[in-house]
Amino acid sequence: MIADGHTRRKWDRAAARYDFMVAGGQERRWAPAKRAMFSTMGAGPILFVALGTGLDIPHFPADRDITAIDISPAMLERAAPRVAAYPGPLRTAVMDVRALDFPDAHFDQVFTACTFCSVPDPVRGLRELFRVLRPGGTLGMFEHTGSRYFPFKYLLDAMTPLSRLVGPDLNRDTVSNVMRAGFDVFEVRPVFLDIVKTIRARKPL
Amino acid sequence: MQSERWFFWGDLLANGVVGVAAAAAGYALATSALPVWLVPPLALLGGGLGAMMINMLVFSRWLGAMETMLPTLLSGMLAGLIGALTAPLGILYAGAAGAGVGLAVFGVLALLQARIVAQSRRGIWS
Repeated sequence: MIADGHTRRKWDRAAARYDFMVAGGQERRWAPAKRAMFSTMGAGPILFVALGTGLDIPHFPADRDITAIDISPAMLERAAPRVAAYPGPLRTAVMDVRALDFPDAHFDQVFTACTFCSVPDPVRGLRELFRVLRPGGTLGMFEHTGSRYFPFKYLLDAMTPLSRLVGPDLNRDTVSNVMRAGFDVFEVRPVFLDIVKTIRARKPL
Repeated sequence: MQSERWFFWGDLLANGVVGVAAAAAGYALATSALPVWLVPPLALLGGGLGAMMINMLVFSRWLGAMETMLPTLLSGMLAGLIGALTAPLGILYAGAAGAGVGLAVFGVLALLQARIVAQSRRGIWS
């Protein structure tokens, strides 16, 4: 179910230039941290949120049971060759993370990469992830967020109204949002200052 | 895939280069016919925006946008200002001061990164 046409159109427009914008140095730089996080993918059903053009697929371990969603049909169209090349079951669906079309406790694990910088009302989206995750299941996130340090806090706040027009917010407090959604955060690993990080959390039993 | 060392030297070079460029812009503003009171804010703004442009067009393709955007913005702003303030000493001094500012920003951020990693290991996340 698509709850937000504005967000879908924004990412549909970005799809054509997305790989050019992020697939260079940024992806190479983040690859080790992403691979480390995705290496925790287990054998059970996995939800991957915001697949985009599928740049993260080569980092997934083989033969995992993955359902990947994105709000943008144009992004998923571009992801199709990477999806087809994945050595294992990988299904895709156009879906809004704030209105997931999955039953409660359906997945063992949920993963996101640069997702909750862009989801409007992120706590609502995270609560949906909480709902579809089984008790004891884990959430793994690779995200960029705001900073608590001067002057980055103020620079990121100042840039967000512009960045939001074409893509993500730059000043989210995603760790706090994950906690507010009900998860127990058990690991945060900084990748670049306190701005780019991996977050791992668990749905309490 | 590039190694951590490649990114280290790349970041160092990027900060140094934008520092020199922003200091040259600051020098140019200070030696122009602009009113003196207008030079520092323009040098700060122009240095920062110019550094961001250089970063977006050149360095981000190899070094990653997020890791270079904020450091080069900071280096550019400070180096622009330093370039304007050291203009009476000549463009070579201004450029050297700009490079120094860029490298200093790189160094401070490396220390901050180490501190954040250490805090994270102790469970201090926000």
